Amino acid sequence: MAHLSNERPNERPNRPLGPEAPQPFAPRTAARRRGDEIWRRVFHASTAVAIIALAALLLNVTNSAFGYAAVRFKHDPSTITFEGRALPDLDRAGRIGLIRAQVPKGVVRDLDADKAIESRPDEDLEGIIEERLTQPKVLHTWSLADSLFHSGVVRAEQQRDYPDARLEFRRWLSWRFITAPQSGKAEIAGIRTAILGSLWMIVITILFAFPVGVGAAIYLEEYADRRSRVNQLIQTNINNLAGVPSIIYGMLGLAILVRAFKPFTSGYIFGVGSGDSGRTILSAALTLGLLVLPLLIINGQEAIRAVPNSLRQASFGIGATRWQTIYHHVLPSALPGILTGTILSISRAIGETAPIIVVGASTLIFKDPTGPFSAFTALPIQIYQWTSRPEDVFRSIAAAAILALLILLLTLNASAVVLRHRYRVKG
Amino acid sequence: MTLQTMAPPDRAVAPGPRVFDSTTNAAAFRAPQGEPLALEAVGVTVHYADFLAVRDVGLPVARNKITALIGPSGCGKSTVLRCFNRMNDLIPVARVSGQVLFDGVDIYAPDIDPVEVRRKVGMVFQKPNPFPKSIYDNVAWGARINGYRGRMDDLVERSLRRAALWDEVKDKLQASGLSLSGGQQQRLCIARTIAVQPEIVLMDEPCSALDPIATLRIEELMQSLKTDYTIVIVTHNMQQAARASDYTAFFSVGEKRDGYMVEFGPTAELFTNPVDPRTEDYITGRFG
Amino acid sequence: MTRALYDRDLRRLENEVQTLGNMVGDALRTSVANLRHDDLDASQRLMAFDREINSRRYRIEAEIMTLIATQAPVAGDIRLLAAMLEIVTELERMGDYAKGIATIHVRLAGWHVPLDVLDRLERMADIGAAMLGRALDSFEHRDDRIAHAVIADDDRIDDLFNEVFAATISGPAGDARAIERANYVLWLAHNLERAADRVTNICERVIYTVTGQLSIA
Repeated sequence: MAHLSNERPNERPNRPLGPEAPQPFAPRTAARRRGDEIWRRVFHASTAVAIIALAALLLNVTNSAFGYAAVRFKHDPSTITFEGRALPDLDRAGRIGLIRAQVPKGVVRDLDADKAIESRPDEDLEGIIEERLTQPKVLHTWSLADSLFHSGVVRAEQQRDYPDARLEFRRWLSWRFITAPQSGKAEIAGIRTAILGSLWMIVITILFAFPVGVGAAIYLEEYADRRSRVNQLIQTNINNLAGVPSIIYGMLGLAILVRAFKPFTSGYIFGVGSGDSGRTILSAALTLGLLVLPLLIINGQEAIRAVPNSLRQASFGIGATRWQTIYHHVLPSALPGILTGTILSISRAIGETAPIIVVGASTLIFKDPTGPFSAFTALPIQIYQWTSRPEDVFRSIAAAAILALLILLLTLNASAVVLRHRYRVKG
Repeated sequence: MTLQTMAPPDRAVAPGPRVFDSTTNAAAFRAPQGEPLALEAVGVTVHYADFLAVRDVGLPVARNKITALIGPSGCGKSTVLRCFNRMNDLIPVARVSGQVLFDGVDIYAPDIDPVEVRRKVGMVFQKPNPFPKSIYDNVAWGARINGYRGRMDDLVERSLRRAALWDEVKDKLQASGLSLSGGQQQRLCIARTIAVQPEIVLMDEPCSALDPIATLRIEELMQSLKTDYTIVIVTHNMQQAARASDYTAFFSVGEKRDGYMVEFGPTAELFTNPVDPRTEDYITGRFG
Repeated sequence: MTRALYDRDLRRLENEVQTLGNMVGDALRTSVANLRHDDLDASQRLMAFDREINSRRYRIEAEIMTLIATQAPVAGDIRLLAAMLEIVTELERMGDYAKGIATIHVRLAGWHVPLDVLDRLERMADIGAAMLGRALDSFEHRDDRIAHAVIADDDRIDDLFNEVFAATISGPAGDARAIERANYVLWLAHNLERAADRVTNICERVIYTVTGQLSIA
């Protein structure tokens, strides 16, 4: 832990310097130093508590996302053959042939209609084979800790309780997991649908909330007369809205966006879709947009307020108008702060669950979203749904999805730091 | 009507009848004799909300001369300075009454655009405040937004030369303006002010944040700028006012913290033989 | 009151100028009294005393320069200091005139100045010393009316000088010795007249200090 100064806190300097302090001073230097030490340790301890809590979270999740699993195939892979070769020995062409040969024709037709089997990535093919042919079922999972340190015990347990299953080391968080579509079967389920849903939502959220939020912040800070009652009322309300529970935004979204604005949010007005459901990405995105809007406004205001007034004075002194001053000087200076706030808002919005459930995120949807007017699901919804299932395997994939979400958030926050640093150095 | 459509009449000033309040006397106002005026404040009074900041200022500013405003803290000299380029407009609670005549036109007339005023009456501030841009852009930006159509490189070089900064920065025009020393930053601010070719340059304690050598360089710069511009400087450094200015106005502050002008005259006379005893007390340092 | 130390220095300098002025006034009166009583020893002492006057003058001058360099005086203060610089110069020259009179007395060695001339010389010395006294008063009280009045008195000195001049050159032409003595007598009168003239210069400086006007109309 770095020290902010050159102080050497572990030494106890106590050699007297010169004669005693004259009355009426009684400096009690040693006692004050001890008091200092105690506070330093308190702060030390609180940091440690925070770190331990975070570490516990990460370890727990990671523990569940990897480990041994007892897998029972409905049809053992080695018993499935194509042109004389067993499944484990088949190459890609072989697997395609296998699928065409052994998967029911109707299913093959549907798959081809969606996307030709030959042009699908390997993970998709794996998924099809697992889902239709081998149909694995996970009977029990063990934690990563157990798998690494007590593999003998694990093996013994498997032999005892699940003799007809195979012991496989599964990495639940894998590239396949990320790119595979949703499925009712935990073994083959992936989060692609959810991630796409989340991404669609967040893009629209930002496209809506960023201009409106920054614009409002500019108006409130630069143009509005701060003394007027109306503006003070507006400011108070924005501050309060930032603290409103997110479920209420969900209800707002449901009533207005999903129901009242159904022609708009379902895409009917634009000629897309049949207009029978307002529960689309657009509704959810706008709802989330409203949710983060107060945050963006407040953050934007603070970033703009932090720009020193001397900069504005210099600009006006040259003969610039107010908008020229804002556009050329205030905004560029405030940009790092605004960007940081925006990315933090995105992080918050991505993790929101309750409001988008209310607005109609599906918990079980298999088709990837194709546009703002699609039905959708989102990553937190997926996690929520999986954690409510009792089976071991669902716990594992929920953990994997949580890890994926955490990695996404970490990336966003890291990019916030990078952007802030980059713009500060430039300015 | 804009300031551009009025051809500046080069008129000599005759000290006409002035309205003094009871605390000043006519002898304490020694107007510039036979000099054309670039700017003239007539009966300027400034309120901040209900607070009277400065009252009834009648101040002539002679063309191509340096006029210094001195006085104790709170006497309103910076407020008066800011009236000259309508920077007080940016303070919501400020109310300015009276007239400020720029070549005979009152810049507070309702059909005068303050943005245009500020191009013709530039300002250098107390703490150097270059834009967080490159040195080149600092000088060029003001000219750009005012629609300069000539060669920008030439304008930048001319302005930096005029501000006695060119030799020090000619090899690093793309470096940030903030990377310069305090004195250099202030000269950069002067360069960007004169790049838009104003007629008058206002300086609000331009050297108070600088070391003595930088201060003297700026004073020297003022002397050379005088040939092309009219300069009004607010300073609390009396030696600076005595060294650098041609005319001096002394302001004082009343009991209710209202500021007013006590004496005005040529600097040499004011500093060797002031008329008003309050002026003498202040400049000899026996004030308060 | 701000600048108390500075004010104390200014007042101290003024006192020193006054003291020097008094010393010079005494020297002038004594120099002519020595003539009357023919006290050669006193004149010798007076000649030595001039060194004291000179050293005081230079000391005052050095202090004034220090004050100007360190205190950046303006307005009334700098007029005062500039005036004092001039005044001590004039006083020192007046001291030189007193010494000159003593020197001539010694040179004359026993020869007596004619009584009528001596009367006039004494009156010149009295009036001159009185002028100096009043000039120093006007300086102390910053009263330019007194200064103006003193300047007017210079005419009486000039009249007396003319009388001495007429009486001396109209005497017997005679030998070289007589001419030499007449020369010395004229020098005595000349010194006293010049001394009074310097007092008027001092008065002009006082007027400048008070009013800021550099020359009298």
